[in-house]
Amino acid sequence: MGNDIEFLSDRGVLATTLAPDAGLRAREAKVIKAMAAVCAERTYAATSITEVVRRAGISSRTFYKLFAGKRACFDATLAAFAAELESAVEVARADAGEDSWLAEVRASIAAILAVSAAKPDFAKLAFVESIGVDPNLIEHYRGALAAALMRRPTPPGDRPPPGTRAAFGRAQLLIADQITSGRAAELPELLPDLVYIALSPFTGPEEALRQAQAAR
Amino acid sequence: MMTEPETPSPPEPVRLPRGPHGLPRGLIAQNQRQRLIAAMVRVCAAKGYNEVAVADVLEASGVGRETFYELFEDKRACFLAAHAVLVDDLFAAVQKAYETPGPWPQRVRSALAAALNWLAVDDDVARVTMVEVAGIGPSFAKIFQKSFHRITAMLDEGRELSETAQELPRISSIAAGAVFSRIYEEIYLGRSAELPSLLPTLTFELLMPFVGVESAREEELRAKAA
Repeated sequence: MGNDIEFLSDRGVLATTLAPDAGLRAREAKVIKAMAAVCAERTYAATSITEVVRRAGISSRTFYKLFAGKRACFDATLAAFAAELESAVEVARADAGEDSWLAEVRASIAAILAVSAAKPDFAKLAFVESIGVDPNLIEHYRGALAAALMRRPTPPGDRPPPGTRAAFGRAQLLIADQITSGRAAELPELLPDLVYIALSPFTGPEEALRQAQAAR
Repeated sequence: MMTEPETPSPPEPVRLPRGPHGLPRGLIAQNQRQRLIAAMVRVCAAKGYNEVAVADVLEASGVGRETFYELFEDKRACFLAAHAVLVDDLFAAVQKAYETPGPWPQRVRSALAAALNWLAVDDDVARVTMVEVAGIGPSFAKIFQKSFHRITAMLDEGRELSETAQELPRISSIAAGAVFSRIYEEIYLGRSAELPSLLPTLTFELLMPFVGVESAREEELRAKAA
C-alpha cells in the first residue's frame, strides 16, 4: 500500500483527499462521479473540465480548489474506484472465511465484478479508458490487483510465479472486451473465466479449470 | 552558418517487412496519398497524435494543403487511413504465416513470430499501430476491439483441439489477452525492436490455455531452438 500513497501524492491527489472541509469533500464526490460519466461517454481525450463542472453542478473555481487539472481529477476518480474495489474485496475475503485461499480468490473476483457491473462508468474508466490516458496506470493497477487477487499463504517477499503478468493482461482485456461490447451489466458472468485466469499461474491450469467449474 | 532554403523532402518510407518473394520493402512514397500516410506515421510517433497538426504532416510530406484536403477530410481521417494500412499489412503477414501447413500449435507459433517480427522492424510503425491509436478518442476502443476479434477468430480454430474450450467459451480471448497486453507494453516502453526475443514465452502463454502446459512447453522450446 506504500506504493499507493506515493502514487497518489505524486499527483497531488492526497492533498485534496485529506482536505478538512467536509463541504468540499461532498463536492469532490460529485465531481468524481461527473468525471466518470463524461469520460465514459466521450473518452478522456474529449472530456472538458467545462462539461464536468456543468454536470457536477459546481463552479470552475471550486473545481480548481479540488484538483490541479483534468489529469489530477481523472487520477482521483480512478483512485476512488480502486478504493471501492479494495473495500469490496476485503468484505468478500472476510466472508469467505480464513481457511480457504481458493474460496477467497473466488469471492474477491466476484466482488470486483459486482462493483464494476454496478458502476459501469467507473469500470470503463479503469479497464478501457486508462490505457489511452497513460499506460503507466496499467503498471500501477497490475501491481495493486496482482497483490490483492493473488495473495496466498506464501512467505513474505515471495515473488509471484511467472505467468502472473500474462494473467493480468488476460483479465484486463477480457473485461475491456465485455465493456466495449456494451455488456458491462453482465460482467459477473466472467467469474469462471477470471477464476481460471487468476489461479492458473499458481495451481496450474487443471486445478484452475476445476475451480472455474466450481465457480459457475 | 548559412541555411539552405527549405525544400521539402519526401518522408522516409515507412518500413514494413516483406517476405522472401522480393517485393520492395516498405510503403514507398510513390504517390501523394502514400507520402501523407507515411508522414502521418512519422509525426504521430514523434509527437503523439493529439499534438500533431495537419501542418506537421504537410511539412513532413512536402504535400500541399489543398491536396491533403482533397484526399482526407481532416487529420483524424488521415490517421485512420494510415492506421488501416498498417493493420491490414500486419494481418496479411500474420495470416500468411498462420496458413502454412503443419500442426496447429506450430502454425500459431509461426503467426505469432510473424507479428513480432513485423512490429520489430520500425519503431514508429509499431507505436502508431498499437499505442498512438488510443489518442483518437471514442472510437479507439472499437478499433482496438476489432483487431482483437480478428485474432481471437483465428484462434477459435484451436477450440477443437482443446477440452478446456468447452468449459471456457472465451478461451481465445483468454489466450490472446496475454500476448496483446505484453506487446502493447513493450512497444509503449520503446522496446519494439526486442519483441522477437519474446517469441518463446509468448508462444507458451498463447497456447497454454488450449493445449495445456506440456504441449505449450514443447512449442516454446521449438521457438527457442528456431
